[in-house]
Amino acid sequence: MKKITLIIMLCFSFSLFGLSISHTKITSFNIGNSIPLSVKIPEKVKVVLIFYKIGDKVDQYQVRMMKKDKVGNYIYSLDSRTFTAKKLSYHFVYLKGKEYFRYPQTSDITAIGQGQLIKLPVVQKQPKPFPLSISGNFQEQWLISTNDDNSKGEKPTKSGNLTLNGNFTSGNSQINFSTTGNYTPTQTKQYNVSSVLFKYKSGNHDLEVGDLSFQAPDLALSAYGKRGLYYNFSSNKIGIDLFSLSSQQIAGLGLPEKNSMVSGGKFSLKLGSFNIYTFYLSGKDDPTVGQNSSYSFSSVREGSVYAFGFTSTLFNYAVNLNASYFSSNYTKDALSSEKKKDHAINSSISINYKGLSLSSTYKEIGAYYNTVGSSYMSNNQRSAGASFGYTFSKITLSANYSHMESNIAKLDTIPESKTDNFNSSINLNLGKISLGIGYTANKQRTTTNDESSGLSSNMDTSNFTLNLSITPSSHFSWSLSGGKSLNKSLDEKTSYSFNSNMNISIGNFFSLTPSFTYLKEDKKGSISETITSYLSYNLTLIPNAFSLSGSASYNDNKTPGGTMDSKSINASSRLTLSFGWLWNKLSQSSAYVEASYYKTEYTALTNEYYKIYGSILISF
Amino acid sequence: MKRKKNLFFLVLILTIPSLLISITYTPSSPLVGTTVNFRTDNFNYSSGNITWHFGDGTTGTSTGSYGEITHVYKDPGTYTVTAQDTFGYVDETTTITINDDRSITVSSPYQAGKPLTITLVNAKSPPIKWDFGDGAIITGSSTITHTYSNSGTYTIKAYDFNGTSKTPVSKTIKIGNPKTITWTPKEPYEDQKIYFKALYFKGSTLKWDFGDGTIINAPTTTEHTYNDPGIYTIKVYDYSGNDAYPAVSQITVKKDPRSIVVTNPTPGLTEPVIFQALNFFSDNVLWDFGDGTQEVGGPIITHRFRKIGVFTVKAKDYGGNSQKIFETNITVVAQGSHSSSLVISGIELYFTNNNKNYLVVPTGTTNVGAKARIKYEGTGILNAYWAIDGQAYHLINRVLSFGQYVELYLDKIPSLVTGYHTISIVFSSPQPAFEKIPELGLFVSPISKFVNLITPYDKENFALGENINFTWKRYPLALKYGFVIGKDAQSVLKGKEIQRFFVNNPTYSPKISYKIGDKYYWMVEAYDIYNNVIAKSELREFTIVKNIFTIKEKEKNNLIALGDSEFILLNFEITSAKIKKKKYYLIRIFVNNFKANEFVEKGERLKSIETSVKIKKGVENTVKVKIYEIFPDRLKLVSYKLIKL
Repeated sequence: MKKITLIIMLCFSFSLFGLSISHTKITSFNIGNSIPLSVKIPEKVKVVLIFYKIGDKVDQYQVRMMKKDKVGNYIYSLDSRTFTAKKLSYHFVYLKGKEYFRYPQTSDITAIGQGQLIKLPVVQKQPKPFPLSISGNFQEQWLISTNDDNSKGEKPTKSGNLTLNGNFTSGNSQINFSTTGNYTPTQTKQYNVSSVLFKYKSGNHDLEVGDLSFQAPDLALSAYGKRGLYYNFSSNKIGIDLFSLSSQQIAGLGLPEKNSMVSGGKFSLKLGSFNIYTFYLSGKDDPTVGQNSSYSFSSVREGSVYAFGFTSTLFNYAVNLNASYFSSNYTKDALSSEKKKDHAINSSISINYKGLSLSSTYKEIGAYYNTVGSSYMSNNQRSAGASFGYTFSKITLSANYSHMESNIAKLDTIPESKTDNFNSSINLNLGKISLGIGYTANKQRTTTNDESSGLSSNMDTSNFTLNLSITPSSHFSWSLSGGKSLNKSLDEKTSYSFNSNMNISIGNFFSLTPSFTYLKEDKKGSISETITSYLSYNLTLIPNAFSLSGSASYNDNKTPGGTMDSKSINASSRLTLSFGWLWNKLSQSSAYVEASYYKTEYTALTNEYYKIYGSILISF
Repeated sequence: MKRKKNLFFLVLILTIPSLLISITYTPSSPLVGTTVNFRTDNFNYSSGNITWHFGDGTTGTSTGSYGEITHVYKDPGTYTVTAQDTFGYVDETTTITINDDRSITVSSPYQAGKPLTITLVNAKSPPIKWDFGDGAIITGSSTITHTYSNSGTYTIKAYDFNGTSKTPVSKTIKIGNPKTITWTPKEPYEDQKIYFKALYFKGSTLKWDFGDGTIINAPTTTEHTYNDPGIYTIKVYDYSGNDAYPAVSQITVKKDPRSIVVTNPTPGLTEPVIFQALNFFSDNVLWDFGDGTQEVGGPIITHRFRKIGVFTVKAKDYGGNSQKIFETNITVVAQGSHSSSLVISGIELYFTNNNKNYLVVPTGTTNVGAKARIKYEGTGILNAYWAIDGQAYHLINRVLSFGQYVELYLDKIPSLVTGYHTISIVFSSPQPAFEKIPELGLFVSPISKFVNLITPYDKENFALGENINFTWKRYPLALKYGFVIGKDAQSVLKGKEIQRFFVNNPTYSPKISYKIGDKYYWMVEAYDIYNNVIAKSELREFTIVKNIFTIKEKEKNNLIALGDSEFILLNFEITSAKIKKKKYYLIRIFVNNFKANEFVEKGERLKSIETSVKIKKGVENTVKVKIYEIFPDRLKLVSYKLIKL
């Protein structure tokens, strides 16, 4: 079909400063054709230029010199085949004398092309992300069949979680928050806000509310994962930390409880290369309110700690110094009015120069030193150590020595021990292969022993280990380690261990992760052996549709005389149908059938059964 | 009329003799086996002997005046008796019916295997030939014993007269299965529950006499326990005892074999003690450990005493329903012969990724770690293992000394299938001095662990100074991203010797000094609020390239100067053997990073470029000419030219 060219030409004359300009305006053109432009200027001009733009996405006009034809018209032809947009804007400029004149005087003449342009790829401009995102998982699993009487009638189990993330930035201020709520049928608290953290940052000010994660002096407070409030101000000279948090991890939306809350702060001042600080903490701790811990003791502890110290980095971070003094006033039973004071010292120096690293530590913790900021504290001890490390080429050498003494307060009811520990290792890193050899010796002497406590008097152990790691590609890795341990005190036991961990994958279609652990203990000819092996695999049968996955474990524990032998085999395989093939938006949802086999043998008792579960998993 | 009277008398006279000649017999209702006396009254006996035909195939001859004769019939029935004289002139006949008073009686019970006493009542002339219907045929007295082996319907036939009678006396009987008493176990012990079953009884309620003084009415199945050993006679009567014939059996009850066996009667605190309920009759034993804990378990059970002292451990069979209690004493000491001095007194479990007990990770994640903080007292060896979903995964064998707590790490939890998983520690020895071991919850979400990159595409080329905008898809769990770029692929993958920029949004244009000819690798990490890397992208590369096409500046002409700007017409010559004639190319000209011109050209026409540029007077202006090959979804830079004006 022959194209009909529709060129609407509007001819008119324009008089500007006495000049009469004639131009046939173009308002439409066919893409692919030439666009002849002509202007007639009856008077003598030096030069006539055409200024044109294609579309609105260029910042400059293109300028071309027009030529005078035989009849005195100035002409120029544009090739619309090269256009990237349908809109053509143009005007003329001519030079008369020393003055330039524009035609039209202010605006452009606009023409719209008809037809198809050469298609350019559309660059998707990403929309500005919504500051909130939500994701979640829900799983329901029900028993289809089993021959285990204890499992028959088992009710369906549900579990799931919901995560809400937020990210707001405005000028110098930024708010981040993240919270995950979960439902787990096997936990004491089935509905739980497993983590929640709100961060506000504005200039030098940081405010965190929720499950905190900040570093505090180690002998005073372990703040990780504990819920509360934290404020930090830091400048080039000073730093201020204030906190109030639960001494234990809290379940649900719980707030710190009265008997399990610590508060305090830290002030630090930078003086040249030295950063000095002072720290204070006070509060109570009730171990029983912790959600993922178990204790054989329960009493509300109460106490306070103050500390001061410094850190320093010298010679361009080559030398690091650290020293802290702690003093506590503590009772392990808040009902008791008797509090005991004691102190602790922690210091270290480290030197790092090229591949060489040297360090030395000294730590002393008084018998009655304790803190409610950390659940566990090893007190009444003193230790000193030194370490050496050197890396050259592909070889790393390391050696550490430490000497520890317990019961430095020489309490009557507690044994006094002195322990010397030495360990050394050589590691060779050849990129895809790394090899390590290690040796550890431990010597403990208990100089006082209350027989009623039943503690061993002495213990000498040594341990030799060999590690090999092979990673020829991202699809295969294998790490092997083996060792021999000698325990010359506890019935002269010799232990042999071997570990193997392997990862095999073929693209995203297949992965296999076998691991194996073997332990043999020889106690004067009385031998016990334990084998633990674990295997997990994943095989994509049809992408986005069917996959097969599972795991299996084998545990064989042989005891001397076979009196307490045990053996267990667990294996499960799962056939998963992903809904992604049905609807792309359901690619993260699936249903599966899982068959499990269990067999345990304990002395003469054997228990063997199978279970088949069905499940649906929805994620977004 | 008179004539008729005479005729009547004549007939009567002629008929009477024949009426008077008859056979008589006594008794009038003879029975089988009895002697029947026959006689005739009208025979002329002088004429000779009388021959008798008794109708049962036998004959006789009589010579008496009335021809008297006796006969015994062996079979019941109606017989025709005939008496004939010698000459055959007189032939008298009569009929006689022989009745039978015999019958067969059979003693109960009619059960297979049980002997039956069978009598032919009123037997006439034993011995009798007996046909029992089960194939057995014998000759014996009128009372005989026979045992049927199988149940069924049988017809007993008795042939009297030493078996010579032709018609037997019959009786049909139905022999059923024998009434039987069975029990389980076959060889029971005292105090052992015995399950009895009565077979082939007809009534629904039976009378059970267990022989130990216990008599009950019960259904066909019941249970009974003998308190003492011995031999007992069990009688079971049908129809609640209305049946006089019980099924009888003898049961031998043996002495109680049960006892408790303990592996270690003097265990240390928390040391496992294995109790075995030896020879117990049921699998459900109520264990009372004497320390305040009770448990219904199997015959082998492990218990750990968490207190020092002497404990009486009791075991009752049948889940505690047995009356008999077995006891043993356990002395728990501070340190047993098998135990160490190590006491585990506390544990805390966390994920190292978030220091919490719950974690959501994308599928395929391998950097999940767990940490256990264990509080202990004493010195010894800790044997335990990390368990995933209860399955043993990794052994722990640590000498614990001097200190009072230790931290154990599980560095890398293997990639697990989607869904909810639990991770915990199972202690082998010593056992912790607390009951519940906490567990960690790990939810593996089907969300991919990959951050999906958008632009630039892998192995794209860029010009020096070109603003490269890196974009990727938003990751659902991410709170911020780390844009990682470096010149070595392994370094970028390992996160070493690279530049890392943290951004909140999934797009970034880093200000980096690139070098022509250098290859760059980049990837994106997704971080959670605790600064953990939760997902990573693939690794992509790009190159800062030299010209693929040669762009040569050919001509430069000043067009016009307006104010402080100047328009210059530039002409470039394009030469390259790599130009694809059929493809389209996009040409962009930038002046001081402003887009001055943009047009498309087919490869076959791409021989030169003409463009005007507006530059500022008196300063150095940068003009870039870029040529892109047009793909349906992207533009690929193939050449550029940088000139200074």
